[in-house]
Amino acid sequence: MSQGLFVHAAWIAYLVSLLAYSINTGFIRDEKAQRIVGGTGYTFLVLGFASHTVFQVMRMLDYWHQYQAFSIASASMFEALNFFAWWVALIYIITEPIAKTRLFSTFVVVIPLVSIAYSMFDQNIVRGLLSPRQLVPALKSPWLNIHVTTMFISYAAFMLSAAFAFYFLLRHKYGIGIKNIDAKFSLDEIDVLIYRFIIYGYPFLTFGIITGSIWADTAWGVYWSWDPKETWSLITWFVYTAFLHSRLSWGWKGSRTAIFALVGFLSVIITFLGVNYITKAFNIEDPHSYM
Amino acid sequence: MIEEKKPVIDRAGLVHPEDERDLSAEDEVLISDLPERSFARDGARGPIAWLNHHLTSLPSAVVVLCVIAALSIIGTFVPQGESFSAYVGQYGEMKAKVLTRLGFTDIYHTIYFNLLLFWLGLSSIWCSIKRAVITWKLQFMPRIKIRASTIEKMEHSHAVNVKDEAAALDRFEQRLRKKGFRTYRLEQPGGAHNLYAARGMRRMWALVALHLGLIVVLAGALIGLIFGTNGFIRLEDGETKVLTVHPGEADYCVSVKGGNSHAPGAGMKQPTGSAKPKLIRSLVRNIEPMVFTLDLDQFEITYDKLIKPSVIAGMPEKWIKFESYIVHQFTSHFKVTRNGRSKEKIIAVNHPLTLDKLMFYQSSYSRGIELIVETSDGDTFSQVVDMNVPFEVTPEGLRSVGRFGAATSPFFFRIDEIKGGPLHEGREITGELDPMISISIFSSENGQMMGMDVIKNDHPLMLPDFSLGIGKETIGASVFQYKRDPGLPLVYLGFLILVLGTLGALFMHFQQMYLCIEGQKARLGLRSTGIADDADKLFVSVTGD
Repeated sequence: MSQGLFVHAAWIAYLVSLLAYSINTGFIRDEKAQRIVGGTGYTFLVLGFASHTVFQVMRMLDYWHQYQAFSIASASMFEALNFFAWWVALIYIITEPIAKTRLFSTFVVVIPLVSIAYSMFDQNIVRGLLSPRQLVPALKSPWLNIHVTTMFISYAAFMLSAAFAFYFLLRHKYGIGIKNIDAKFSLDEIDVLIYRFIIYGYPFLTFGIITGSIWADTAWGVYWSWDPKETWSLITWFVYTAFLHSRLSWGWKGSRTAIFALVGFLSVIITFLGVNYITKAFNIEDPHSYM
Repeated sequence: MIEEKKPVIDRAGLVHPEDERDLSAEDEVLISDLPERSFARDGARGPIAWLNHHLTSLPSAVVVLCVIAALSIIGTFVPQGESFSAYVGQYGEMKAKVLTRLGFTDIYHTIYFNLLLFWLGLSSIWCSIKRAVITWKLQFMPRIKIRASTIEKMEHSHAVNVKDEAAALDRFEQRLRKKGFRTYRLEQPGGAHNLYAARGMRRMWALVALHLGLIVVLAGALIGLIFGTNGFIRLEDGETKVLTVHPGEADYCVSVKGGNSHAPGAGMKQPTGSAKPKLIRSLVRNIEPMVFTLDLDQFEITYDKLIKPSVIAGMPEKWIKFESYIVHQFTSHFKVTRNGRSKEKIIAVNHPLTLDKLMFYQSSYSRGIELIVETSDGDTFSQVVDMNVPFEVTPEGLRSVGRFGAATSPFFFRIDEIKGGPLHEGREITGELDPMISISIFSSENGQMMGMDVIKNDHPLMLPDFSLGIGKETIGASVFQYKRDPGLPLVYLGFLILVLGTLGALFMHFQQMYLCIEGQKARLGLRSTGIADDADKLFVSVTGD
């Protein structure tokens, strides 16, 4: 079966999940009805994730058949975006029942949905959808799996914190809230969620940058070369380091840390996607670039 | 509820040395009013005090971080380390001059950027020393004395009535010990009893480790910068070169066998790396240079055939076939000798070779192929042409053209890619890929690309005046990067400490319980840092109330 089919199926399932979650958060007051509609959203999220997982496995098998080596599907922009979406879905599927954040799901599920849509948009990416990307010699390394996975887990965690931060600011700064959420979550609780997702993402980001350095040293003979991707990942690390210092040392809370979380995520977006456009637009060599 | 108000000490926050000082001091200090500045003493004057203040000040550190980030961003928008003419071509002369003068064309090596990094390193060292001293005191010499009114103002505090002060103190202490707290008691002259208990000191040490890790990484980088050396060296098949490396002076090599050793200028020194700044040169001038003999036995590029090639609708068959073969690996059968000791290995990307701590990496390659021209008059001539070198076909032969303006023929060519060599299937070599090239054709008039084609042995490029074919052999040269970095073990050690410290600092928690019994009233206060949040439960379990 076509791998594209599973990506499309995942997208449709995420869309249904988003609709169910949106109805649940925005319009349903009755708790029993909330359980049913919210449960439907969660079920479709899991179904979408399952379909997405099939795609990931098929693509990894392609790499296995091609190179007789295990490689996660992250060698092209299409694969990277799908891998990111997959991690967001996985982390949220795990954390939603634990952190009881179902009412926020709309803000989260929209991310894999947009990621997949964006991944299928570009002509180069459409090529990528059809077949696995060739792996240049430098990418044939176990460090690829470790480095990319840790970086994407951190991106996913930061994305979730940004989703909470976005809602926090809407409510706190602009007075725009959703009744169901406001009834169940105080600003303090949302603030703690922002903080928690950042402290879960931060060690992964640190580890991801470190594994990237070790890999670069093995492949390129230099553990830090100030290429745009490395530099932006360091800037992202600086932003979240400053966030943690402001929170832990200065006791910053509330809208200031929420803004910090959004700035951090903007930096993540530039690191992940923006760098590719910057290097292309400004004619800068970047061995990390996907395009 | 969250409101915009002046900062308070977060229950998930770090314990500040100031907090420790103030909490255990006699004076009454509102926790929310604690200073959030540096470790420097108030009222101190002079450059040392200024330095001490700013090196240990978090706002200063954040400002430095922001400036480093901003400068780094510039470096991601402006191509780095290119020639001035390249900048003139991209930005125009005026802008190119401004960018170069400001150092934006090599920003990561400018003095001001490195001074900022140095400041950050110094600040980390200074803060870490002070943090380590404070953590040491917290571990071994905690201050126990505290007044009930101070405890009352803590974010988490609790009060209970006790009948027998001594018995209550024993009971509380026992319960705290059961919960893993280390306890310290103090009887004040006025009759008040103090109990201080702490658990999770590992978190405080993790914080020390985290900052220490960063320092170790920077120290390793500094050692590498001073005592390290690196450069690039190109060897052709069968060539031997003698490489001389020195941490301060410019490295160089001399070709002694094969390759271009018989060409004019052979046997001369060829630079492979650049000299360091004067200050570093003076530091390392007494270090003896290291001399290595390098032999490249064979350089090889192996190929994979894609099982699922990317195909665009309407793509000609010859292009589909060309795109179906991709580089599997490039490898060099390489031997290094120094002081009579040799090491031999097949170097590939991700698989370097090390001798006497000098590492050799397979970096890149250059490749050429014999091009055969057959004119419409029946004349045939051939010449080896390298990849990415623009050339034109003239009646006299093939001629390299630096830029399109230099071409005298209506068009000129460039070989974009040469493929051909052992063919892999999975991990095994199962066959041989015959040579083929992709070639671009440009107009000499305006430099515009006019087309692209694939040339194979049996499919030459047919043009009105001549045909362009290829020979059966490709000629390759391997490009190695070499590096000696004595700071690398420290950098890796720093990475390890940094990761462990980060995990400890973020996921362990540190708690301090303060107890003051005056008369029949016991007051308990709790400070938690980290993600612990069980103050009320803890109070109940300690007091039983």
